[in-house]
Amino acid sequence: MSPAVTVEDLRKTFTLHTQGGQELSVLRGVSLSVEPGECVALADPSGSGKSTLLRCIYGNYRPQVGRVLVRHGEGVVDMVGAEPRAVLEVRRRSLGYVSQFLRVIPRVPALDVVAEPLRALGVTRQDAAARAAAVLARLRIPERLWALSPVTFSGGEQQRINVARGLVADHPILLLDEPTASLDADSRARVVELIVEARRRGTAMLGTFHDAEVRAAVSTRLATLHGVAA
Amino acid sequence: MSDDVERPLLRVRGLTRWYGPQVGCLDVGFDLWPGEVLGVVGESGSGKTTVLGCLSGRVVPTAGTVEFTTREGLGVDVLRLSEAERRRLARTDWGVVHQNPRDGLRMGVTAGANVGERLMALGARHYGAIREAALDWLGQVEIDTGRIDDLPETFSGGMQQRLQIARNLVTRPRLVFMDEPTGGLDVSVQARLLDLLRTLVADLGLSAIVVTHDLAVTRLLAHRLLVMRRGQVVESGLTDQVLDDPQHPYTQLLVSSVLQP
Repeated sequence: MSPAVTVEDLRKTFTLHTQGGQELSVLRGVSLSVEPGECVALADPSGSGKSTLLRCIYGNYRPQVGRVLVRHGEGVVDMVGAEPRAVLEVRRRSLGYVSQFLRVIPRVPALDVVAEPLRALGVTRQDAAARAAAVLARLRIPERLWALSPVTFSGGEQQRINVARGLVADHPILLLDEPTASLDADSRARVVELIVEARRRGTAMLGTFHDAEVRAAVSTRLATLHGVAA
Repeated sequence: MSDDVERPLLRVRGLTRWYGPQVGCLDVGFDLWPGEVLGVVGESGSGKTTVLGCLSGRVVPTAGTVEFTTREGLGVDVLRLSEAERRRLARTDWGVVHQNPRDGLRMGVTAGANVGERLMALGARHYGAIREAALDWLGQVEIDTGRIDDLPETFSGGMQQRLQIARNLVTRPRLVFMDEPTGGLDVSVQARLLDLLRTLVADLGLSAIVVTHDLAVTRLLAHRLLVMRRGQVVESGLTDQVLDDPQHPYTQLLVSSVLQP
């Protein structure tokens, strides 16, 4: 069976037209793969393009060259150049993503924000709410906040909402971009616990974790963007 | 995927409209799939409103085809339908939400009549059932049902806009055209309307084409974007791709010009 994610010779250059057409070559031929049950940590220093790689895999950035093969149901989808609706379908069923920042929508309660990926999979309102509540409780988000929009939440609370939303639907593949960045020690430990549980269930994960303790706790292997594993 | 057997709801090819020597829109083409919300962005004069007009039958294009898949699964060329056939489709399958609610409402009749009118146009005659549906829809768009017998005149701008949405959605159209739906509203009212639209579109599985110059609106509402400039589509893609990784110089300029509060 093919790996969960295979990246082949991926190249991404940004052309900044508003700044005199300056070119930034960020990914220069990245190749790696992730198997189910693995958590691969990208070990490059900050500013080297780790987030860019994660965004290219998620289909958010559009690379110029290369392939990103993502296992989707019985098949494989190349996210590079995939039709928009194919990308959305892969995100809905196969590929989750925890970014560093939560994009909050005014008026939408935290519980609904977290339940939304499940609703998109056709889970009933009631079951989705129950599963969302369970994750929020594990991440120690006080119940009195569930009905509020996360607009007014602290950075750490927003980050945990983000993690909850990313993990709630049990996607077989997860991309994690500094999932514990702005968390205190207790919250960090709880997020680590959830990530390790997902890995043991067979989720394939690729992420960036600048915190050495977190990285050691969650990852099974290190990789770098350009060249051999560190 | 079972999607392979599905066909687009709307298939637009080569849509072009000249105003004398001036180009309104040039060679615009796209597919719109069931349940999909397409955002059309660009500054004033970019041709986005011309495209919406051509699609919804208010502007006659100079060239191009617009194929619509009917409820029976048949493809019809909207531009070659007779006026009567086109009006029937407009009543049963399409909705139009105008920027100015006064263009989409009948200001001389009550809120309830505004919602009930489209049902009656489709043959509904039972007064109780029509009133019931109107009450239900006023509730869905968060208008106090006690206002059902009031004239839209007495409503705030945000309420009028929500009433216009109720009037359009009551007949369960399959495709809704929206022209700057949050355009003339206060920011606080905009958020409420956007949230409402987002929920309704998702719950009803509507397809929609939303013309706007507000990129934040597209981030919330649209799955996919077309970026227009001088009548042409210069870039298209998933909404987050276009906004986070814009490729065309004009799109980069648009995205970088937005103030981030």
